[in-house]
Amino acid sequence: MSEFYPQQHRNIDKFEATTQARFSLAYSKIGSTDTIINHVSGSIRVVSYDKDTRRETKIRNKLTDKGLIVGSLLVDIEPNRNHYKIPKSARPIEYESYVHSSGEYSYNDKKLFYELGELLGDTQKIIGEKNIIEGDLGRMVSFVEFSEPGTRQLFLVPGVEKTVTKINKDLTPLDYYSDQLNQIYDNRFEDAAYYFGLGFIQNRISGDT
Amino acid sequence: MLFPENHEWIERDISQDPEAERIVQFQKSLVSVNNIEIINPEFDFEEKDPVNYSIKRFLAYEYDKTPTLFINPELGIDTSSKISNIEFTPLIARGGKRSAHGVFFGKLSVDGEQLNIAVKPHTVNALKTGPDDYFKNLVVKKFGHYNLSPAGLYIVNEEEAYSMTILDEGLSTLDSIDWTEYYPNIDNNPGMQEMWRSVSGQAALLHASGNKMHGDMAARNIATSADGFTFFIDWEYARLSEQKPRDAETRYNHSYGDLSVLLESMCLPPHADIGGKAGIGILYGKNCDWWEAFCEIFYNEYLFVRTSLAEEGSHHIQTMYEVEDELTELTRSLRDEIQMMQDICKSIPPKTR
Repeated sequence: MSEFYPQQHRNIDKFEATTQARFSLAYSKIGSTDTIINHVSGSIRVVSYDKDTRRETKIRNKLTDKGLIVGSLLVDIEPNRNHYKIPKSARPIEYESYVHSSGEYSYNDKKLFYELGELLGDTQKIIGEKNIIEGDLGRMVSFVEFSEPGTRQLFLVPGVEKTVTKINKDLTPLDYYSDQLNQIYDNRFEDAAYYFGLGFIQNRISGDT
Repeated sequence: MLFPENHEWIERDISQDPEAERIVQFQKSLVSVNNIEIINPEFDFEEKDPVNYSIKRFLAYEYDKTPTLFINPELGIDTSSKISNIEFTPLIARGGKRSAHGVFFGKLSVDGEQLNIAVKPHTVNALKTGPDDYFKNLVVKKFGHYNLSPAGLYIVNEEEAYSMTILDEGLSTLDSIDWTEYYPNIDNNPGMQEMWRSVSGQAALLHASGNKMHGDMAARNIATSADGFTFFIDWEYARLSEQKPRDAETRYNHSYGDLSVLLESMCLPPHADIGGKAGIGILYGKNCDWWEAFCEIFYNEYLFVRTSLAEEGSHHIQTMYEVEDELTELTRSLRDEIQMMQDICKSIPPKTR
């Protein structure tokens, strides 16, 4: 497990409170924060980070058009920051325990790693084969619980466009991500690597974008 | 005809998917709803077992032996007119899979009004266990403990009932987290430390009066929310009384009953199957002093809160002595328990591919 952000005690009287560690999509590498805003009309969860460069904006827009980033961009809030409204159930995949139950309404590890492969495969089509999203995949990918069958449940976290970087010439993106996941999940990824690889190349074979 | 013509039933082999089977059964049973009623039971806390007493009154005076959907009045659903359309749309979840009851999740639509709910089926002695679960959820809230919001109770017949709670999407249980690397690196994870401190505090609050216990205080029944609450759920096996505990032994029975289950849950790995039980494996495979670890993660804080609460009521000197005796015996028993768990865990091989 990597660092958890310190959690503030729940306080519904506070207008703003840090989202609890288990759910927080805050990522230190990009300086993002994950906050719950309490309002009389209800609470909303917001991930915020510094405004993008032109290049980053271009990448973000493409990822957004394909529905790969969790939440929705809130516009005209602050000039120097991007703010995303996030579903309450969104959480980083880093801390997910093993789930092996199978079934139509169960989201087990096989499905998780297959969809993760798909997500990263789709991302590669946008950022190009010479680039990767670099960093802790466990913190850059978010799982959204309680979704309807047939809908996406894994997404990239807001601000991921800031992590796009050139890959080492000796590696392929699939190699890089597999290595990352092996470090995070160890034996669990050994079991699931097949499904991850399948998801990663799936859309590339079919030509879907 | 059991299925209205306008329903489309997708053909699939649900015999290989017990969860889908339960969901399909629930959907079929909803078609049979004869009545929708408000359920707002009263509890007499002078009674030794107020929940049981209330269930008997409910079954005698409110349940008319037809399939009835009882709704919590706090939901504000209009039950005065005849309901023409009830549907349930399942949702996909990673959570709830380790529940012995087979909880599932979905959207309940009642004449267009929609609720996201968690559904717990009751198929054995349903007339007792269904209301038991629902009523206890209400009582817990009445006692001021944080809990899921009860949504309703659907009684189909003696062998089929469903208790429902409002689904808080920003909720996750402790068994959904991979704890294998948490200890001894707890200082690297202040967020998780805080979570366990909260568990200690909630457990201590529950046991402070000496007349309450959760009944199944495993990690799968400890929920944590995005806005920072950590609390117990699934109170079906709870003992909830307002009557003063008779002595230290009564207090001990409640606290030990809960903490032994929690300790077991912390020791057993997720892949264990000891009488159907698994855990979250915080201590499994760890080459360290397990008692020290348990104290560091949970028990020291629990004792601190228990002692502080007892001192607050220090004008009842007899209570203070009882609590002191209780905690002394509790500590001794849990030390023995953890030694036993360590031996059991040695016999559990690591998870194989």
